[in-house]
Amino acid sequence: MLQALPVHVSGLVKKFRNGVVAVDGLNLSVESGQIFGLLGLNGAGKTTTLRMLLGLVRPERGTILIFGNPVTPGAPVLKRVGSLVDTPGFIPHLTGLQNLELYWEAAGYGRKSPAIDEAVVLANLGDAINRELRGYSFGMRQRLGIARALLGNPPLLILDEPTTGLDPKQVREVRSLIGKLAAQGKTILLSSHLLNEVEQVCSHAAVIHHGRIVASGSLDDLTRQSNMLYLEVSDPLAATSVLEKAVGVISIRDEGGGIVVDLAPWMQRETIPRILLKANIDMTVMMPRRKLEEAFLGMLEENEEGEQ
Amino acid sequence: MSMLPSPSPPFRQSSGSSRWVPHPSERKFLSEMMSLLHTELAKQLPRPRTWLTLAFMAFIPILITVAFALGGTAHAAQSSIANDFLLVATKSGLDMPLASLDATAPFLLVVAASLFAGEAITAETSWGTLRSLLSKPVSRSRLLASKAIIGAGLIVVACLVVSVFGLVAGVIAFGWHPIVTPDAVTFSQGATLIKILIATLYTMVSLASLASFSLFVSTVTDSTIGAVASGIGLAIVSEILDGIPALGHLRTALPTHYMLAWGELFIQPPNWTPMLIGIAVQLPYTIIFCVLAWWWFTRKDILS
Repeated sequence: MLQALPVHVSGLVKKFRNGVVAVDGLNLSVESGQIFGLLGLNGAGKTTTLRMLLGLVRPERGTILIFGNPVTPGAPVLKRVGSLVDTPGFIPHLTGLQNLELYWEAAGYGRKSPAIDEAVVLANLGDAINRELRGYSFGMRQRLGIARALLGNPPLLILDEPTTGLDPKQVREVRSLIGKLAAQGKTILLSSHLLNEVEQVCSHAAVIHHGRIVASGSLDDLTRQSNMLYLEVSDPLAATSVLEKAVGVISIRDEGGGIVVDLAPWMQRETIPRILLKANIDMTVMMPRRKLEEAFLGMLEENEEGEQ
Repeated sequence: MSMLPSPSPPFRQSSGSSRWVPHPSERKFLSEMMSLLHTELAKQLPRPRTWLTLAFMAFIPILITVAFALGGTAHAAQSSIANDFLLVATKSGLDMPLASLDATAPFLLVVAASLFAGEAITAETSWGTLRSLLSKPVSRSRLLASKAIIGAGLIVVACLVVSVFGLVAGVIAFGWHPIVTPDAVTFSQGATLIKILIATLYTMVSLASLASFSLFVSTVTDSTIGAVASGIGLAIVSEILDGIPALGHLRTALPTHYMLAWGELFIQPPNWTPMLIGIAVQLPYTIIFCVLAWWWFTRKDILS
């Protein structure tokens, strides 16, 4: 049911004037009720993708459908989307309440509405809601930004790094709020560069790197233990040499202080310590590697190699 | 006979009444425009920079009046008929708004106009509110139009402040007398008030090209200073070129060439031609810069 999907993106490409390809043939589908995490390093193309979903940035190529409707700047379907992109911006010389009211009116909803009262309650800023924005802390702005995104009770929320810059208590509050909103039936697409955040909050995720999706699926699928192991051994070179000759070992690569061994599905993991023991190589760590973590860490490694 | 359905008229007559009611699409357009205008006004009016600029525009005529009251009439040779009001400023309080317009139009009013127009988009960009607003079904064309209208309104107010404060301060300091121009032509108080009004309106029009240029630059850059400076810079370049006689008639196409052409109202009979040419020069610049602003803003990627 393509038409009913809150978000459907295919073949999305964005190249900026400076030649940087921010998004390169991205495909993405978010189904109703999902909390979908877009996980990637800074500069991976997360924010550009979200901006294209909101009609802020024009794609070079590709299709974006929100609830089955194509997205263009100011498209009517954007009424059904609440968003928080980058750090939330407000008019500094107006109060929190005035900011919400003016945003609501400019977006074409009229001057006063119970939705604003609901947002004020949600922002939980107390008397500060009547103070000028100048005096707000980052956390207060972030809360007000989320409250603004929720104005009008939109069924789809697009949140760009919603916990960036918050202290641990505020992070927990925001994550808890996201869970509550999902329980109300909202679809949430959020971006993050924090693996644990996506693992804790999301039901589904995609790893984005250099503007492409390199892994995607439900969190259960992505974090299901694959037949991949991370080993720390006394002599990595010797271990690599021995394991390369073993039947059932598909590939081996160095990673930091250890090695990652990809095993054939039929291969018993317990075989690996036995092979190493036979070759007089001490093994101090053996951990299963998850797909999501694998994709994300692989990307980090590639990034570090690129910087060197 | 055509088989095509006739297009619905933009306005239709309500049944049983001679009153015209807008078509639903027109009503939606008007409603959205009114909302955007109201929100833009609500953003701009409480801003300290709005009040500081207007206060400065009020302060300058008072300062000029005090300077003339203390120092007497100027004796230096001036370069235009408008500048001549600085020569006779102490003869009647009604000279003072003209002297104030003369003193402020070439630079201070240019700064005010560039500020009000140049901050139209860049202020929202620097606050980070543009991206949140445009991620809703808000028409970029209407948003830009609302900002241009409110910016133009503030420029109108700035010009009025100069004239009104010049008038009040002048009448208090030098009295309510007919004015006598340096050419010894006398104008009654009523006739002078009308000419002051026309001169003020003309000054507003003469700022249109510079303001629309700042508006255009504000859609291109994220820098408020850059957008504001662009209008001021254009005025400075125009003034420099206007001072080069070798350019001959080309100078008449410069956006500031006819800025003080309202001075021709104070000869007998008044010469309207320079003002009409001045308006005709402003029109294409303003249209071109506004269209460029619209073209750019409706196509730009909102990245900040």
